[in-house]
Amino acid sequence: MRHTLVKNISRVLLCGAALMGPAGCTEFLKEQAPSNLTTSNFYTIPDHAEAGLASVYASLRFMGDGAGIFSSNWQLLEALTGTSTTETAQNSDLNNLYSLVHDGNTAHVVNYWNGLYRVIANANQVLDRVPAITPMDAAQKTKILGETRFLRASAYFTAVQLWGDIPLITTPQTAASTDFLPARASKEDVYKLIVDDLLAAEASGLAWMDASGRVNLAAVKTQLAKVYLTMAGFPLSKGASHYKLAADKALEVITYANANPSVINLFTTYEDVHRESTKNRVEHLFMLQYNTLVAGNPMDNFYPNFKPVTYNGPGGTGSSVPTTAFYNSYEPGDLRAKDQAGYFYTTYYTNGNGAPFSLGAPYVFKHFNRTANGTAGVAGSRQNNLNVPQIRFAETLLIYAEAQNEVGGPTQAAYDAFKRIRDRATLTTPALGTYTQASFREAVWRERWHELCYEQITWFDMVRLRKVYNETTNGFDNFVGHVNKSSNQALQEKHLLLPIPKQELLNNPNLKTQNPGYPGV
Amino acid sequence: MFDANLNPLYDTDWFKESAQNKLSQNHQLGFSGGNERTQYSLSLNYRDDQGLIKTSYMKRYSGRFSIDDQVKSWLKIGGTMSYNYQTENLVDINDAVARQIVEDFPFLPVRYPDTGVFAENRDYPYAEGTMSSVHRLLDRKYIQNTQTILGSLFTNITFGKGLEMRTVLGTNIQTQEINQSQTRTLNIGNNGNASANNNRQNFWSLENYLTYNKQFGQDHSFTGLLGLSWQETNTFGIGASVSGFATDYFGFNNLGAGAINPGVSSGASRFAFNSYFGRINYGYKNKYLFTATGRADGSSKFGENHKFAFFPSAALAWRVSEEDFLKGNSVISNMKIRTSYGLTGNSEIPPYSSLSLLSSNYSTIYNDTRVSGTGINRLANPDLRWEKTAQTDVGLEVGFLKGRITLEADYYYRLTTDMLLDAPVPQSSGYATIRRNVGSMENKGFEFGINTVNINRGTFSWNTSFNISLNKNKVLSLATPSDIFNVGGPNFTNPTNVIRVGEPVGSFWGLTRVGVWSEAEREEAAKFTSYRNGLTILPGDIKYLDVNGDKAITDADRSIIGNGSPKGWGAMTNNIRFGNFDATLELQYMFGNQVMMMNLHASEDRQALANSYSSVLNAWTPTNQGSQIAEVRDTRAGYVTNVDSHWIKDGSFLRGRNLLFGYTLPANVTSKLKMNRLRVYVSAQNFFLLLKDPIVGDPEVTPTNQGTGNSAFSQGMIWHNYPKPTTYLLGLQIGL
Repeated sequence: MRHTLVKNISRVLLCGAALMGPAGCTEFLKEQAPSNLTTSNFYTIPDHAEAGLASVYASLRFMGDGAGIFSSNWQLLEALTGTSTTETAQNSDLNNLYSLVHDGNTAHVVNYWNGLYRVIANANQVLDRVPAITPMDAAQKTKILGETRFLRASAYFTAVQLWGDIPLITTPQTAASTDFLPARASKEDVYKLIVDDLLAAEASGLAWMDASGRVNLAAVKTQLAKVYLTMAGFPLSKGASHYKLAADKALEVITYANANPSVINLFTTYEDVHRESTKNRVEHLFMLQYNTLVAGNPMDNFYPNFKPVTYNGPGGTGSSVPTTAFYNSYEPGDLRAKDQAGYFYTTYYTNGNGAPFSLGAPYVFKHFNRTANGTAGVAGSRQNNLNVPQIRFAETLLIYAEAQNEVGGPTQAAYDAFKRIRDRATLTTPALGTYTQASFREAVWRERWHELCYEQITWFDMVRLRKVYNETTNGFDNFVGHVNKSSNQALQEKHLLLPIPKQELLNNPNLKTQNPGYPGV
Repeated sequence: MFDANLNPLYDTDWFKESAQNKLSQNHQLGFSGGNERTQYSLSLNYRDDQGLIKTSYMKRYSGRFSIDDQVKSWLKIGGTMSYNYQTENLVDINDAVARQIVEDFPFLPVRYPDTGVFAENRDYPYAEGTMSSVHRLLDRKYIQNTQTILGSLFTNITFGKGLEMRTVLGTNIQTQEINQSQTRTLNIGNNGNASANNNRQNFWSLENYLTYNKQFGQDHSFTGLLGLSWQETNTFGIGASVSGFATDYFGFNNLGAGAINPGVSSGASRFAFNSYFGRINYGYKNKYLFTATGRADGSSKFGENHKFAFFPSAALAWRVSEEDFLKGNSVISNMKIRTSYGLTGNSEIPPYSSLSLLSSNYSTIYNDTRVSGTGINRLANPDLRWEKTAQTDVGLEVGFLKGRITLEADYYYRLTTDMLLDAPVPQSSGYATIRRNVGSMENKGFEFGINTVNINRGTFSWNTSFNISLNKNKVLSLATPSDIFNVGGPNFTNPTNVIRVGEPVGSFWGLTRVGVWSEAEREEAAKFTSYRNGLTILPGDIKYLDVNGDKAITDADRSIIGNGSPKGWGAMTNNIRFGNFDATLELQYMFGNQVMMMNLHASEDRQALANSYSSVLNAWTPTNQGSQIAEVRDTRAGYVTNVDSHWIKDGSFLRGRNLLFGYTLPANVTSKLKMNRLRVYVSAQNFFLLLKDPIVGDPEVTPTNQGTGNSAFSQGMIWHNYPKPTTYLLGLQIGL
């Protein structure tokens, strides 16, 4: 320090002597940030490629970030479905989602838009800069680019389903970029990029499974199957060709799983679905990674409202709790609805490991971490390191069953895939012959609702099918007109898309119009 | 906690349990002396402030030394050196205790008598799971230790008649430790946690001035000045934190004893200024005075080609009382009319704001292990430049009756252009904001002051001074198409403040509370889309203004509902001296300022989760339908809370800032004691506060827990702030 001071002072005195010629002293006002890199001094060696990719993975955690009091961003995808409600009304944005009167300023809507485009921006940075890194092992480079393209495709897939036509940004941005104020690209174009990205990821040499939590081949193939299935339905309505693509792609995963049941399979118990020791394994094809070293599990808002179910006492908010109607819609004997054995709990241990007590209502157990919170006679570790599932093999099976049925009615293989889900729930399944294409279709949909609930999947099913499960009739209503049991509000045509964030519309005049039915600017 | 008749066993006054009445001390000792050639001064200071709440304190030790020496007739040198050490426990750094004092249930004891364990709201079924105020005070430490070394050296060289050069080298070296800990019972989630942070800031400056003074004949006086200056600030900070302690013994004194989630961080930054300036003063017959200044200021924080900006200013004054027609006037003893125009610059932004930066603080997890990532962080803005304010001022100074009455009045107009703010950009870019020059605003106002010597008769004198300032602020233009939100704090609700063209900067933003739905409106209320847990809106629920008439309460129903800038403010001071007694009365006032009482969210809107303000006793009931406060219901029945007009109060106030009585011992007594002067005094500071509206908290403070908001726009935001304490002071002044 002393040395620098002396050096600086002598420089200043020199400059001072040359009083009228400050040009020589521009160095003094030059800036270089010592704690931040710039794009010009990064992306030069393979380690930089890895660090760039890590930032894309890190950006995925936006879904668990807060959205005001007692709420998280992911509740966007639960509140609209009508399968859950809230025990607190502190967050007016969340209230508005439950009541289906959300608009372009609703925090969750804005945060999803911003979060997804942050993922895309970090991915674009990697995809733009990593190819030029030399020397770099070709296989490592391909793999990093493949993982990145999967993550970018997944972000665009979520965005295009939520908003329809959206800006398609594929290169790093500066304030001077020509697409800094982008127009909206057509859904077709967005899906084209998604499919291209996923096909590239599929060909990037990824292993079938990756217990470290990175993208793997089973995840890429299932995601591709899901994209095709979605393209087959609304709004693109590509029909048979894409049902076939979806079925074939899902079948590749199922075929591998059948040959390697210890690698990919359904878990034998529902407990394994939310157990720390089974992260990124067997049924969990892809998950958002959580560990308190970086960030703890973000699904606390599923806890009951101030009831002491964890070591932390009465800390929960109860801002996402199942509706009784949905809980009661499980078939009698469905293991998934059994207290603590399936996806719900109606009793727990005081402060995690004390005396059992009744909760008085069903709550979501799917994201409950006994290891962290405590269980009968065992104190919790207090570190909630549970991941958030994104793609489970159960979904691969259901994608296959649904898509294959659309291709040519219920086949044995489609029936088998569907039945595996029900077998685990200890439900008896009518024989294959009793199903028509139509009845099998609805049976699979019903299973999707009951198997994949509270995993931020159901909303996308509602949008692509334009059908919503009716808990009372056990059948399916048209999307428009269906009354959500959580709020007694009816879904309208406009709800098929979210409103574009209002600030985004204001700051980017090229977006031009708001999605139909929502207030513009 | 309750007896057989359900009467509470305890009635705890949590404020009393959390607060303390303590004695604070302040001692100062000063010496000065010297001779024709050399002067020195030495001072020592010790201060011990005990805080308003338990365990909070601030102690300061400081010393200062200065010396001047006339080495030669043409050379004077000198320097100062001071050292300051301050240690404090800011136990409630985020005002959580201030809030908890309100919310703690009075029917709980401080500790359960049988176990000695703290009693807390969380023990009570369905209450919010919080820890008590006393528990937080006793089991948390936030120790901030600051050492400051200030030094300066100067030389004054006189080259000849009227030509002088002054060179000043200054330095300010500050180191600050922030050490925190929470016990295992307070931080249940992690079995206690602790952290230690150390920040250093080195500042130095070098300034050179060349001054020339010249009197031409009797009538013309001239002063010219040329100067240059350099300043540089370097900062470096390092921090470490850890959780999971087996004991509370260590606090932050042995971070190695923690087991879980160790975290480390460090950061460095530098910024620099460079200025070239000149000034000329010209006076004619001491009647007409003219000054012009020009300075080129350079800051490292701006874009490559915009580091420097030029700031000229000029002022003109006319001493009317020096004119023949007023000279010797018995009524008007002094009169001066003046006007000025000047441009000033603002560079108060973080360094590196114009650069494109990556962040290497993205962390992800592979294999349950932390992996560090580097991704986007900040957009470059090579055009970032100085914020400029042009101020025009017209003023008048008048003295009557040989200075018995003096008046000063000023009108000013300030136009700020190129305002520096983080402005929103389309987030399709992946970025949220860009630091840029976003727009312009104006401030215009009037300042008036009057001093009167009411009585001045030998041993009895009485002086009064009064001043008032009026100001009006308006945003004139914004470079971004959208309003700017995310300013103001503490930012845990819907947006609270907005920057919008045509409105005062940082205006309050929210819904309008019409009242509470009445029984007569039951049918109308039920037509509204639920804003309460999906349940039907009932009589007893808060009724908002449905601006767009869609029978749903959404963002479209929000508007500007007030602003925190005062219309006017000022003070009045009276000084009375009678013989050896003296007295001072100082009053301060403000009016036309609104405050947003965010604490009504926690303590009035959500009534059944914790203790509330007593105003809840006036909540809506079928027989009290005129209330502004919703019906009290079980928490799970849902309550409604939104930033709304009910939280906006008139913040006008009159404060008794100081009342002082002093007595100076007669000279014959002090001289016997071998003293020059001996005075004793008592004073009461902040001895009363009159408010227009019932506000809990202080209308003048801004929240310390500002979240990500910009504190410059938090004026008038009340979120469980501490009141200004009433201080009683007993003082002794000794002069040797």
